[in-house]
Amino acid sequence: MQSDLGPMRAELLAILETGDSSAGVEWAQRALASGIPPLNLFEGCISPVLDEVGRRFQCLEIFLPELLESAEVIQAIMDNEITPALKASQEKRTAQGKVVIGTVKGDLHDIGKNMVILMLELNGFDVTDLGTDVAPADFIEMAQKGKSDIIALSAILTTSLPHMGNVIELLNGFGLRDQFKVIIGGAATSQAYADKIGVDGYGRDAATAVELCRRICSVSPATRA
Amino acid sequence: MKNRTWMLDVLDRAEEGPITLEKEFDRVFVAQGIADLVAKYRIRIPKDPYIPFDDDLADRVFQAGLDLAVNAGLYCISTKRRITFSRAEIERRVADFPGQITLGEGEDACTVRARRPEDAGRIAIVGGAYGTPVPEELFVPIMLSYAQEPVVDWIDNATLSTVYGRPVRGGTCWELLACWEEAEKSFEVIRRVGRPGLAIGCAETSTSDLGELTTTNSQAFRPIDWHHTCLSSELKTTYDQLNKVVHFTRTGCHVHSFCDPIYGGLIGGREGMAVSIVADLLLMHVVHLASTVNPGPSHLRYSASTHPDMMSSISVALQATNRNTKLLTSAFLRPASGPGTKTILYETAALALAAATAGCAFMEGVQSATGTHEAHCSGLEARFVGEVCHAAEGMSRQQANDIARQLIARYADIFDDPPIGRPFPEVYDLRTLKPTTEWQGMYEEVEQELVSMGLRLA
Repeated sequence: MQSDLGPMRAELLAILETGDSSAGVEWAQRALASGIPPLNLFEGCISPVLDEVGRRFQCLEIFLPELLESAEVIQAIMDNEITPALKASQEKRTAQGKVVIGTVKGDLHDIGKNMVILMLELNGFDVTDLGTDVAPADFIEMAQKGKSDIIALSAILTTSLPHMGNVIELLNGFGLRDQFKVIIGGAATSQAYADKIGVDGYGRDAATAVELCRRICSVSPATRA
Repeated sequence: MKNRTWMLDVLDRAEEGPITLEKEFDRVFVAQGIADLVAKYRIRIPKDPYIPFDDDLADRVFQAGLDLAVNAGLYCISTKRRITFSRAEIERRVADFPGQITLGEGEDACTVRARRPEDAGRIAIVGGAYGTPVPEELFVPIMLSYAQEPVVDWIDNATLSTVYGRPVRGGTCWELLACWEEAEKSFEVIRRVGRPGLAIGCAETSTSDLGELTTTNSQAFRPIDWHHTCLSSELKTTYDQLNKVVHFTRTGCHVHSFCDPIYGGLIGGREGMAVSIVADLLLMHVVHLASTVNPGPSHLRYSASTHPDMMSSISVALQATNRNTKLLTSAFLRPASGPGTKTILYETAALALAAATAGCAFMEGVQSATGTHEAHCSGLEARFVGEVCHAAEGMSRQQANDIARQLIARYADIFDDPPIGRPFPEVYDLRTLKPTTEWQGMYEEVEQELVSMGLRLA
């Protein structure tokens, strides 16, 4: 975190607390006009503020509606200011990685999965949402199509857990296991179950899922945008 | 016939209601809608008292919940439409409910009746493993441990994690096979304890509609049993669920519907959760034609329903519903701790007291260790719940709050690393189906603690 951006970060955090997208866009305009390069603004200011928002949500200092409001403000900033400025400056923001995610077959729960998607997208991941009740083979097909780094599986129901193991079996059977990292999460899952079926990680909640994906992608040789 | 006509109306509205994007429903109708209603009705629910005793607050929460039910309706994921009913339609449908039903048959029948806060009327006790995964060889002994308890008025099944030695895969042919096994084993359980007319909560191995539809027939689960539907979080249903509503209605079954509002999720904190619970309960009765309704709920991080941050919200929402309707409501006891620990007893006692004094008609549990650890469940937990609930009949909310506060102090710090206890074979003697000396001893020590806190256990 760059110390000279401290006041800018505090200002952005205050704007996120109000959920005022137009104030967020004006904040970015002022910052860019002052000569801060767009990549520096994102990496030194927006990204650490997002970490702080994620921390607050993880501790339930804020709830999902407030997180969604923050996401809307950031999206407005990115769409209106940062992305166009990056294009104009020829700078490139490195995508964190590609994730294909869904709730496994037999399970229609999606609220936890959707929180993970929101947090991943806020943190710069390229996420493909397959929805709920997703068959094991569909995860693999979509991961291949999208050249994903990570296959993320969610389950609330214990009778849907075997489908997670099926994904690993199919990857092994097709000789694709080394092409994708597989992570699991959801109320029915645990680190013990992750170890049992041989996936690459377990995320207890949305924030730890982001940390897990960051860790995986920092060592994964997979493609970056 | 009345239910059939109403059911047609529900199905029509699932096809003809306002088309809405799911994201818009989440943001506008749920998150913003709830925030607006919390402000409109000036709802504030502090964490403590854990069991509030403010009737005006409860009534404002009810009005907000009714507004939410009218404004949002239930979102049908299958058709992308909102199933909506007017305020007058909801009020009329709820008012027409008789306030009691009978489950089971013969000497084992149980009539469950609506109660009001601080009501001295009897609370019905549903004992069971509630979807906790168990291997097939343990299903019968575990469920016998519940069914043999005289305090249990009907049972709710465990979920089979294996069938014929194979893992059960939800939404596939394995689910159907496992539900047939669940039915056969359930009937063995109630026959062996000499309670053949005991109602069975079923089919707990049915994660999609397949298992329920297959096993609700003349050769498996009966109309006198307790058949489940549920909402998706928040305020959503699907054709899977409506399929079950149609089948149960046409086969003369009572429908039980439950939901799982998430504390910290779209509904926000305590205030939003209370409003959401009221709307959930009303809409499960109206849209799922449910005779009995349960509100969950879950904590975003810990899943458990016993977390101290949520207790006052659950209590107020149940008070609100039970003061203003004759719906048959319950609380779902899903502690973080598991069998063979004292904390599971503290957790269940605190929430049971909150719900019993809020006027619940029946109590459900215990889904020990949040129901996610294989075979971590035992009948002793249900016996404990029964004793606590009956002792709480007629108790004031203030007195219950005093006891709950002492209980919460004993478990409030466990959630980051909860003691999940031990699986059934380590807390019960599989030959005699009695609790081990150690588990029985813990139970008796906690009973004495409750007595010293002022609870008059029988």
